[in-house]
Amino acid sequence: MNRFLILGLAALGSSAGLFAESYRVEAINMPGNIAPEVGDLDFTPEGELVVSLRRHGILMANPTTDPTAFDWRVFAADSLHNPTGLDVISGREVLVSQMQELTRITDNDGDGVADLFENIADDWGVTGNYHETIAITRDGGDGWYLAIGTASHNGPTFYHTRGEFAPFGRTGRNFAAGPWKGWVVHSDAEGNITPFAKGFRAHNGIFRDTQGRIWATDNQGDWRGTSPLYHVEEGKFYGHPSALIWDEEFTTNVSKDPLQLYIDDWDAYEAHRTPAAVEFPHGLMNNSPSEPVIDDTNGKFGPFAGQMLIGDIAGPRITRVILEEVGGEMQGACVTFISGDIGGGNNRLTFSPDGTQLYVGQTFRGWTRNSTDGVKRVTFTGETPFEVQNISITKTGFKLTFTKPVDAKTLSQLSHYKTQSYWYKSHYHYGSPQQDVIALKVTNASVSADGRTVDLTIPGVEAKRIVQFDLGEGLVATDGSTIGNPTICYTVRKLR
Amino acid sequence: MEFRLTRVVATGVFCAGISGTTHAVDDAIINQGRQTFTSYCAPCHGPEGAGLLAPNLTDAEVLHGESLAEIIKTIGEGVPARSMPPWGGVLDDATIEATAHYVMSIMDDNLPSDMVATPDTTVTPFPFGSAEEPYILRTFMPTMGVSDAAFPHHGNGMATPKYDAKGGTFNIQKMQDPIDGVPGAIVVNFGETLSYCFDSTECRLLYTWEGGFMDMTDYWGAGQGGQRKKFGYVPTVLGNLVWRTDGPAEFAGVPRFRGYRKVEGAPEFFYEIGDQQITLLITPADEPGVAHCYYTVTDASGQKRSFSRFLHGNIEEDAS
Repeated sequence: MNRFLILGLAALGSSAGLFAESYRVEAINMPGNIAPEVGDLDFTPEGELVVSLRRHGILMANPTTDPTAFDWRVFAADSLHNPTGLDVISGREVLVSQMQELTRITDNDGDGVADLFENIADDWGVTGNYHETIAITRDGGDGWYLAIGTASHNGPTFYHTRGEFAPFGRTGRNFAAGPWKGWVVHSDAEGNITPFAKGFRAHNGIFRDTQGRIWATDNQGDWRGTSPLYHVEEGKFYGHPSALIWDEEFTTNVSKDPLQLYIDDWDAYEAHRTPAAVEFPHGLMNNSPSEPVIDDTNGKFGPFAGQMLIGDIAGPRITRVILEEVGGEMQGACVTFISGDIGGGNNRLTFSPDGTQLYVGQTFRGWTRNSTDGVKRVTFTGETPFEVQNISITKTGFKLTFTKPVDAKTLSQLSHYKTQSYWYKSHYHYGSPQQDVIALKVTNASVSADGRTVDLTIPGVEAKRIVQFDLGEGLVATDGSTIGNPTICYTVRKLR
Repeated sequence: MEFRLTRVVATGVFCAGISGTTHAVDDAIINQGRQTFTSYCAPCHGPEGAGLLAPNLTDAEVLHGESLAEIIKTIGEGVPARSMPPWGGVLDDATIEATAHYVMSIMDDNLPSDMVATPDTTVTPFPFGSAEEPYILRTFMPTMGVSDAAFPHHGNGMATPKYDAKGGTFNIQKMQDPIDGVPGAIVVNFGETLSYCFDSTECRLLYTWEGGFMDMTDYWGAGQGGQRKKFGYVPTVLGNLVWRTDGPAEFAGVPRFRGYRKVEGAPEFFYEIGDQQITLLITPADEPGVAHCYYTVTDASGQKRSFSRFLHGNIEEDAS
């Protein structure tokens, strides 16, 4: 949690506790007889919270002020097959992406319990591997984009697979032995599937923003030097070669064994792949990013309106992402939003209808033991935190804007801006160390009149690298609050 | 909220009364048994054995015999009808005996029970339904010996070079075989009387069984938040196989699963095979383990026919 305590006003004596917490975390009660491994969660238009569960079906409850007083009702007790995507239409109709199909679940007779489970779309493979999870987002009309994950070498495939089995798709650490594994596909309302973009590993989170841009996170591993956020555009290849086995044009004209091709020819691989909009330095920012959401609350949730929040399955935190378009490409920075009390397992995020609270669906499931399960909610208390509110690359460096004013002398002190640069290699090995780490020198800091923005001159900023800022403890706002999350990492795809 | 007490799960283990019984055994064995109990038994019986989703083992009376031999038998063979799994296939004899000694050591401690009132649960890996409210579960399933001929519309998984995590690539000298499993299964449990496995890929009933239902440990892990222990995610069928299909399907054509609707809690599947539209509702017959299948088949001309049949042994018997 962000707690901002005044530490520097010695003249006023002890000041600890003068600043209230900005975000309060509460655990929501769940039925004691159901393992609350949350696949996804969302709200009905009427404001009822809907939760899909890996070891159950779908629960609904009207939120209460008291987090322990949710009166859950069972909308569907039928246990679904890893229901990690929800599209909530109403309290009587939801769509769920399961391992093997997109299912419309309806309460036709109005008794509050679902009685119809319709298969809307299922034209993809299921190989028998636990890892092939599916996340969904609406397409802006009456269809959906589906993020279909690859399988893991930690699990098997079956003798009898749903869909065609591709032996050249089966090799590798994470693999695509069945159709559309490692792809984002589109489904129209009738369930007709068309491929959209390829080359994903474990894109356990897909989101369409109000500008119609599609975003997908992915997870560090093979062909992922560190975990990325992708701006997903039609037809592009996002770097995990196994998915190319289902690209007929590639297998016809380039290679029938895409994985081996790119193991052998890294330069050709680099030329082909579309890089991430933002990379999350592993161990520092987000170890297993999940569903992105945009803060569309117009300030009801604090000072980060329009920015993106992403949960971390493997770490006790939610990450904030600041995006901008540079040279026709989306890129930007990541910084911790909250950490600690939220716990790990942060699989899905959704804002309450009034915009004042962020609901977090958590799950134990995954490769880490540092997780919790159930539902938590984060409430903005009205106390503005002291954080980097915005960052933008300039022709000469970076411009940082803070949530609170800082006196000009403090803000212009160059020693507050420790800056370094590095990159991660995407290759067949698992993850990547930071490559070619170099220290950058801030040569000038120009402060705005309102004391909230500093324009840093930093020679040597290069594309295809991450610039990491570690802000000094002495960077204190005029009201005495210290910076909550001092490390911010900007992924440079393009220079200004 | 209101949860109906419809699923019977994970009850009844060994609540034998041995009040006053002296139980002298080496502390090392008791400690070994405690460790096993914590890993395998505590998710249902509670960390202190005072009951959680399964009964309180610290009572003065227990259900299935208080002697060491009886407890060992109960642990080893389980109580499938009450959803307690047989641990004989998981734990070796010495481990089971040590666990039994530990159980005997806590009997008659009379700890207050934390047993959850409702048996309707997915907290343990042993979900259960009833005739009044069947439990429906979409999951991977074993084929239970159903022949390859019953899966013509599936892909053919094959052995491929094994991935070498250390080297970061695959080893063509070592091959990895596929495993047995049904990728698009829907399983339904009506309590002890009937369970069945329907394949949504072939649109075909694969097999039925009676007795227990399922051990989901391989998929869900043991207990709440448990990590899975095995390579595959295929759960274990508990109980006795009664009927299974074989050979080519009765209806010719490409199957297309469309979904199911609830009929008094049971799923009525609707699907297409070729140009035929089919519904299938499966309910328990009077005899345990026997499935009663109600079909409607509408052909391309709109001609509709209905029939039902009982499935038991290897017999499909048309109902009158």
